[in-house]
Amino acid sequence: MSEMKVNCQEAATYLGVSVKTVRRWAQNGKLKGHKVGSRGDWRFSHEQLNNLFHYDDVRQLNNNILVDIKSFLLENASKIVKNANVAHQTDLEVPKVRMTIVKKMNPSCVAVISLLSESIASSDISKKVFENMSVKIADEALQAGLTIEETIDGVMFVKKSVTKSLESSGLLLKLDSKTLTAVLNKINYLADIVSSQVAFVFHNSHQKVQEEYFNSEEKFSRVFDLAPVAYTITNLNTGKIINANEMFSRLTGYSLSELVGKSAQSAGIVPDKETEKMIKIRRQMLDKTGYISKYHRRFKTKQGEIKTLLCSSVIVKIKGEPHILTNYLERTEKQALAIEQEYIGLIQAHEELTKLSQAKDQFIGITSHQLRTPATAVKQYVGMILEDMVGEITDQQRKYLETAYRSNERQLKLINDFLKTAQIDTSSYALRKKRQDLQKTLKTAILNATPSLESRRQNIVFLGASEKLMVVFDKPDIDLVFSNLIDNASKYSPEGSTITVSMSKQNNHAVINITDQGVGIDSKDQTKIFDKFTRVRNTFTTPDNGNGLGLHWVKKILNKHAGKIMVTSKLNQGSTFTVWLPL
Amino acid sequence: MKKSKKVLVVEDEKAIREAYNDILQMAGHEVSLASSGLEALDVLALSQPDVMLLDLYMPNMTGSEMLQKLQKDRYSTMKIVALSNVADIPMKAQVLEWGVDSFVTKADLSPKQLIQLVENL
Repeated sequence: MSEMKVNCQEAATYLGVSVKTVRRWAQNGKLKGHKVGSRGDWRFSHEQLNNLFHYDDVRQLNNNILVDIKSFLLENASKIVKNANVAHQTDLEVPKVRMTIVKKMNPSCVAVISLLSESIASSDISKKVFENMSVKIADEALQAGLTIEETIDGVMFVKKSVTKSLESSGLLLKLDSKTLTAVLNKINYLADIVSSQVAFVFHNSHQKVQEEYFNSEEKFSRVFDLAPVAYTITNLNTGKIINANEMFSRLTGYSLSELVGKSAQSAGIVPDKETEKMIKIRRQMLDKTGYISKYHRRFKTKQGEIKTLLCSSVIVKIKGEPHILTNYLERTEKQALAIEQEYIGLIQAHEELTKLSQAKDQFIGITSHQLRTPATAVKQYVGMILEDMVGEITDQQRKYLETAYRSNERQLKLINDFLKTAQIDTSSYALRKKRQDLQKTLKTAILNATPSLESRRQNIVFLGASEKLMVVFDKPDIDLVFSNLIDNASKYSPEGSTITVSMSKQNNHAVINITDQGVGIDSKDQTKIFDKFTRVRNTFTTPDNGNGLGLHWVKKILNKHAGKIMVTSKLNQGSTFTVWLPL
Repeated sequence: MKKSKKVLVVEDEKAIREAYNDILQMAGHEVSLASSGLEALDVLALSQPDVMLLDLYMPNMTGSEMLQKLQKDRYSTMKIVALSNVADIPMKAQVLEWGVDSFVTKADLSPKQLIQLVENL
């Protein structure tokens, strides 16, 4: 099997470092590679890159530089956090107000860095210590009012900032490649522990805090009743008001007992103008995002006066059941009209989008039926003649009819392909994902491909993963991915060649390599092959054996699985397609 | 010599309905035709075929609606082949659950394969 080489950019992606770092490692001999081409850039084999990954634990490495790294991190912790803040704000365009809240976590971040610095030079710091610390961080973040995204992003930017400052300090350059990757991997690993633990704790305690808050009746009812703003709590499923505060009673003129147990409509406080459509749209927005800020409703008071109210709603869980907590502010008619205009604009946009989406679905449905039906009929009638069901035909008649039959078959396949593309391209394309054994699906795809490979006297070698890899995926779609890649490998390889399929686990991903000994892909074409309708011309290209859609589907499907695909290839030597799917 | 079967073809598209009729008759089977689910129910009320080829997408009661209406035990000896225009995987799973014996994409069937399908049921 020929050995595939990757360039600096691909090596950088593969290793999770910057291109500059890859070049520096190559120059220093930390990463074995060789220069190719007129511009003389580096190329590396996968084996070489993998060597860098499979290292011993840092604890076995007795290295003075690690001690230097430790003190560097300790001394510069505040600066590193500061840089992380800057990157966080600018990269994600976080508003200043939110950043002041994020910055409340700075002392914790400094503490994480010191713990990190300790654990880089020593193996005594266990995973448990990091987990405990992460729980504390999540609690603090919750109290400070950070969102889960802000907290996780914060951890990510601190990690980036640590690696960046170590890179620019020059300390990493002094390490041999084995220790270097060990250090970088340990940083990644520990940061991953922190973020996953934060996410976990955040999720759990967030729900708990919310429920506890609403369940501790005394505390809640005091806040609720005395709030200077009108509030109601409505059961999401029944639409009935289960509680309203003093301000709401004052606003509407109805007492609590006149409201509780009724929907706003049946209590008579919503005038007829409110349409079913508006209620439906509000409900849809609530279901989708969990809240609606700034919409307005007109309420009729007990005295018959119409009041315009600006409302905000959020879904809260009370005793495990979803409820809507809504606040109301009185607005003048003019203010309300301005908001209404905005709201109507939103509704119209929403309706147009819905209509467009329906029209698109309808179009796909109609074409699927209408385009295929005539071609199916042609297939039957021409088929009857070709199968001698209606008497003998001359050789020339047979030749022409066979051509017509084949053309029609191609037409049917094109319609199919077109529909599949339309389906995959539309965002509503529902993936029927579930957690299942990826290797099983890969093996089935190999098995299905075997007859066609045998007809080309090609061998297929499968190197499985050492453990079962459970991945969340849609079976028919991922099967399409594997089948397409194996089919391509076979199609663009000479008879008698070998295709190697391997599967392994790398950094929370299932990685599948499909390698052939075929014609290869010119580097200028490598970026184009995943585009729609791209077909690279080579000795194996015929009008019948492809439509330029296969790799487009593969990429689209992998995108929808948060996975990715990369190709490394050399003309006349072969190609390797590498697929990553998150575990 | 294969045993002649009674086949009911339920298909709204005339060209395909007649093609199936001709193909199956030439192969020695007895064919009756219906162009909608409603018509098919009328035919079924009079006689019970051995095989029903049922298009799933038709005006005036689709095949799926019809399948739900059919009392499965009443027609327990009749084999049902669901015909579809597209390889619709969720639909396939659904109709197999409704007691259909086979799910076929029409464009995949050549005349010879159609005959084999009917005879091998």
